[in-house]
Amino acid sequence: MLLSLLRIELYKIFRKPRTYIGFIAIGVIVGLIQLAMKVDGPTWLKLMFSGMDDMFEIKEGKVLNGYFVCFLVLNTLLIQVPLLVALVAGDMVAGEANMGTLRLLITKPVSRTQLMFSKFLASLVYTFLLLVWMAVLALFGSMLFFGTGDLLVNKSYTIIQFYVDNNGDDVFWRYIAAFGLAFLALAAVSALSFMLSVFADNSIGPIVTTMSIIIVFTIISTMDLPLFAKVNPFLFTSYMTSWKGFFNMAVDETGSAIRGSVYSMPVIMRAAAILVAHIAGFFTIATIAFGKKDILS
Amino acid sequence: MQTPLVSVKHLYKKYQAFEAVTDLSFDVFPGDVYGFLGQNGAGKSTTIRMMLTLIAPTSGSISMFGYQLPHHRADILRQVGAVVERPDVYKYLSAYDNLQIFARLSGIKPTRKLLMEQLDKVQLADRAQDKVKAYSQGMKQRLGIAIALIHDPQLIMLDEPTNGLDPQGIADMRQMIISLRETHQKTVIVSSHLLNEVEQIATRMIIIHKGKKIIEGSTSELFDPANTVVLLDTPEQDMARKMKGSVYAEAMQQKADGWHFTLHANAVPLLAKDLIARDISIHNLSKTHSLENLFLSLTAAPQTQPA
Repeated sequence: MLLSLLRIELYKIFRKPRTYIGFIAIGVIVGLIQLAMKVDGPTWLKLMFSGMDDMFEIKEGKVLNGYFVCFLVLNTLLIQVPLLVALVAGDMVAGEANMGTLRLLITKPVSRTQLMFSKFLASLVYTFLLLVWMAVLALFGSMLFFGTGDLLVNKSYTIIQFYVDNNGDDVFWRYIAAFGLAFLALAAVSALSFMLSVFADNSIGPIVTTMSIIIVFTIISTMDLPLFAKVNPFLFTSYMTSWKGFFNMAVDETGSAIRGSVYSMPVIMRAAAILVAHIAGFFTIATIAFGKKDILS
Repeated sequence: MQTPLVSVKHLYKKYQAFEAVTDLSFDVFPGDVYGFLGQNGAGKSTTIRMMLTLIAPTSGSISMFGYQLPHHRADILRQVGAVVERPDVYKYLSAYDNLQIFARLSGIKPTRKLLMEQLDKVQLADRAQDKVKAYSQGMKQRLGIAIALIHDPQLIMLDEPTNGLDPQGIADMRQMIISLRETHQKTVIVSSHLLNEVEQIATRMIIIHKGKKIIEGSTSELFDPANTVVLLDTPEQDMARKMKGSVYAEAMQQKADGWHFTLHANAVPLLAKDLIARDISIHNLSKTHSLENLFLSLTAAPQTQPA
């Protein structure tokens, strides 16, 4: 039954025009960044790495490759994608209440828990597809247009170089892992928006509230104050950019970077666990609240 | 004695201080068209929503088909089809898609033939692929009925099914409800705030007011001709003296809108003759029914609580 319900929910999602706003927005933004990099990339790179010429010999042709463009896209886009995720997740229950279809749904011999599971899974599938779309355009599209090569990442005034050479590709797997962790972060946003959707009778409230919570939590996460430092580890927004952890290499005792390594895997695993806990928590609250909710719409 | 299909016992629903339904009990038997009558805000929709598990009762019990709610919710709802208030469906989908979705949710795997037959029954087959947002209110109502009936339920609940329909739509709906009972042997619960509408289709009915049961019974009993009321509008100041010795004297009662005579429908012409014989000026003489009067008095009562 759950599979049948999931199919129905996905069918409803993908028959709604608003569902495609996210895909179109990502397509436009990625396309614009790729175009800008094609036209002005070398100039922009010079500016970015200015002052580091004495430390590195930067070969423009090699640095401006598909991996670099993808990194740039992820840095830019993963801030905006939560809004696109909230657009659909915030509509899952509240949208039905607003349309009046929730009444009809509840009169069918499907348990409320099953209904919540199917709706939540459908919103996760949408989030996943949005990320896959982003990966196709930002990673594979950029690889196609710009080719592949070493990835240079500027981190805290340090340039980290990830090699693509005869010894293999040390970048591609990092992107796959990064997209995996980014999915968990976006799934947490989706779960939050979904939970808020249960308490509302139209989808604007949950969408706006989700974005407001993300903005407030992000401000708390970025302000370096002792009071906020105590709550930061518990905020899911503190882990929204944890995917960047895959672009940080461990070093050996001589101080040399270890190819194929990740600087702090336990930190990444902890971030993943906290995001999963948030997802489970938001979904549990949503299911309990929906189970007790009087459908008055 | 016949076993009820639906049995509601001592049902209460409270919203903070407001009691929407108070100690409501009634039974619906197989084959009934059960009229659920009351003014807007009387508690009809709240009761129907509790029967459909849309809202939880504060206390009391509801059983259907021998099963108790909410424990056997799925077993019960598999045998129920409903349209609650407006027939809202997915406007961005076609009637065919909507029907298919709700058929699957009702636990059946519908074939194209079944779906088209069902749409044909409600005269929507030729518009099956049109998006519902382009439908009129009457078409949406018909689609709602098709959705309620697609899984061939034993019990159909229709909450204010004629709301927003034109006179032809109302007549069609009335005919369809009668046909559900007579041709398809279904049990129907239909709520309305219009007495004459329920009177024409219901075999049994209940009137509720401010969440409480006022009266319940078979339509034939409740509309017993013996309870006919004749309303006399007269300028006469001394009615008691003029009616002295009349067989109708004991049946008359003075009310704000005139004199009321409660008698059998057959006696109305005789009453008219008697009034004329007694030289009583008649401004207006109208025939009604005690139930209608009761219902009108409830409807006229000022509403102090929200729906």
